[in-house]
Amino acid sequence: MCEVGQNKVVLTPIGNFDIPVEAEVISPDVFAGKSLNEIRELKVLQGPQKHKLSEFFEVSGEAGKTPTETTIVIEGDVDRVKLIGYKMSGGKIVINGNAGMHVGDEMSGGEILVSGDAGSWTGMDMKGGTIVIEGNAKDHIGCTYRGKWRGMSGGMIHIKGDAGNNVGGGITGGSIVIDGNVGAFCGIKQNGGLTVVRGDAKRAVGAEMSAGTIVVEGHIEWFTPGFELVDEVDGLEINGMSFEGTFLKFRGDYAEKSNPKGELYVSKEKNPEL
Amino acid sequence: MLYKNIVCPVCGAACDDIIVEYDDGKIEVKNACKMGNAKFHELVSTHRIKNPMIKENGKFRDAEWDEALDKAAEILANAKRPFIFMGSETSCEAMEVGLHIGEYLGGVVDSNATICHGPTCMGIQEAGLVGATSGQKKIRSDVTIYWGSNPMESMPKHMARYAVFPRGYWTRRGRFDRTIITVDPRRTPTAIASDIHLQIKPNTDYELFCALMTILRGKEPHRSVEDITGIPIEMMKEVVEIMKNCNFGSIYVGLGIASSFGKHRNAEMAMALTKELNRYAKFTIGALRGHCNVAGFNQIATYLYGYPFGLDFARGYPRYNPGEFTTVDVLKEKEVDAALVLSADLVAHLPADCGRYLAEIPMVCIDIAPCPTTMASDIVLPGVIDAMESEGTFYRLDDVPVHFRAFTKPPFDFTTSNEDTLKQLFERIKEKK
Ligand code: SF4
Repeated sequence: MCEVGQNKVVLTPIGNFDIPVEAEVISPDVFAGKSLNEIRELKVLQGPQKHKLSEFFEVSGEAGKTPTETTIVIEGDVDRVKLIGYKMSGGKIVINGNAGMHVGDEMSGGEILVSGDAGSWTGMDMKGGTIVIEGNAKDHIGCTYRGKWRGMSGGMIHIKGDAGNNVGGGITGGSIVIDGNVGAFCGIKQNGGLTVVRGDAKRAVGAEMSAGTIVVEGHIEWFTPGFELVDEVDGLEINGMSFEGTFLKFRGDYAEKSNPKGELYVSKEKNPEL
Repeated sequence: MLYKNIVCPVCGAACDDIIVEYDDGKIEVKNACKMGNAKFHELVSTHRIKNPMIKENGKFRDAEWDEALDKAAEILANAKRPFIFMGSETSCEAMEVGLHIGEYLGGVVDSNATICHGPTCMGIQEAGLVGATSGQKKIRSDVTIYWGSNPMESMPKHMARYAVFPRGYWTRRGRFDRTIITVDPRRTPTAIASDIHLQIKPNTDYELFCALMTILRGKEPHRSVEDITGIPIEMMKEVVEIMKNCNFGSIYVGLGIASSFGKHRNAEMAMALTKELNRYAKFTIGALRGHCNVAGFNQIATYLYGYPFGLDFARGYPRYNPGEFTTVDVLKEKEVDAALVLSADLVAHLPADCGRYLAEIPMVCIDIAPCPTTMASDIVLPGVIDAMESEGTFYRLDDVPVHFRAFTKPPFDFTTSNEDTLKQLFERIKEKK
């Protein structure tokens, strides 16, 4: 449990989430400089109806004067609350439980820590800051909005468990690290930045990629056909992260472009068939 | 009486050359395929729903139209977040009213594309669509590719009427002037009738598209693709040569790409390949849509609200995010608390969890015959059969609007069409909310 103290607002879920709630107001940028009562009155959406934040959360503590000085601690599962940390620019959100969809959408600074699992579209179109998920995450982590080609442009997402499909779709900058396994289409349309998968990947890693770097330390079940083997390297050092072992270096995706600059490093040991 | 040029309200071909003889509860149908024929016989079927029904204590009782309509409006007006599903065997005019009800109530509105060619629509958004009408394809196409589609069984008149056998100005010898390629894991009747059958391993369409694109860009695809897809690279090269050297190519994608692993990524690559092929030859792509007006919802939702399916109106303006606001997702995550389902046996076509949830929440169903969805509903309003009992508009598989006339009347007088039913329902909803 977290102690209530200065510059820290504690939200304790009290239920009523029969229909999911959209709570983009849960952000240091919105809470900063507000009294507890003002925070309780903030409006969230349930379906088309507007409700007060206090109908879903018990609110205690005290907000800081500025976003950077404000920490929000959520004590419990909020997997039916969407858009926590939407567009936040600084400060900190700690979720002691599972998070819902769209955590940290378009965030540009600050820190989000989730002790449990996270929903889809975590860190969608993120520009800066850090998101750390202790558990697993669903699909579209650090991905872009539907139909858009350029996604996450800065910051860092670290998933300590597994992630689903379309990790880092359209990423142009920043980095995503998945300690576990990923589903299909990891790094789809990647155009910059770094995607690291420490576990295995299902399929289409780096598909439609034109720039940026992907590192896969585990096994890729179905390799993307538009990649060409260009080199073999012993040990890697990228963005201050080091990787041990021998890696096959591929360039691609030639299905996307005639002169792609995407770099895909795949563990040689785990992928003998490549 | 003999009626000519009737539109068939079954599959996406929306054939408009049907001849119907209909007298004293007897019906004779000419020019329709088996599927079409069966639907026309619904007119004289004994299981037609003719009375509104209300479920009480788990059992249905017949009700007056007024009472049933009122209860239906109550269910929708009292919902926190209603879910409205516009099936695709009804007119655009009805769908439009459904969309407006959804906007008014701040609900979620979706249609069949969500469980069929929705991924194809998303592919269009990612890569763009080089399209053509069926007529153009008929008169010009010398290479026809059925990818993940099997028209012989799912759109029986497609090959005969639009794509393969008819003679066109530039394809005077009909079938003999065309090369037919089918990509399908199964040896379907369409594959048997083709010149080339790429029998790929299930779910590997994406890799095959990528490999073709890579070859098209002058590069050698990674050799692992042969194992993944089961197709030799030499064979892929041969197909790419055929595609590059034709005059006019038509790709018809089916659910084999839209609903196999990869979904909209497959569709996107299919569109991208088509686009790229236009450097060498005229190439077009289109989906073999399943229902007569499944394309209609995508068209009118797009021109009214900007998105083709899965629209959420919670914020007063339309939002779109397949995976969040789409049928399976809002039901699986229990994000809605009441439903209106028109002309779609949704319960029978969704994952079991979603069907179960639909049965739990209050549901209003408009349909012509008993089905799992009517059984799971709380209110059943009799449906009208479009293109037989009411007039309106369908969008054909190539997104061409087809106006259809009625040749008979519904077997009741409380409503004249599904559009009329929804309009009456909307009026009631406005009285309550
Ligand atoms: S092909 Fe389709 S539209 Fe044509 S008659 Fe058969 S079912 Fe009806």
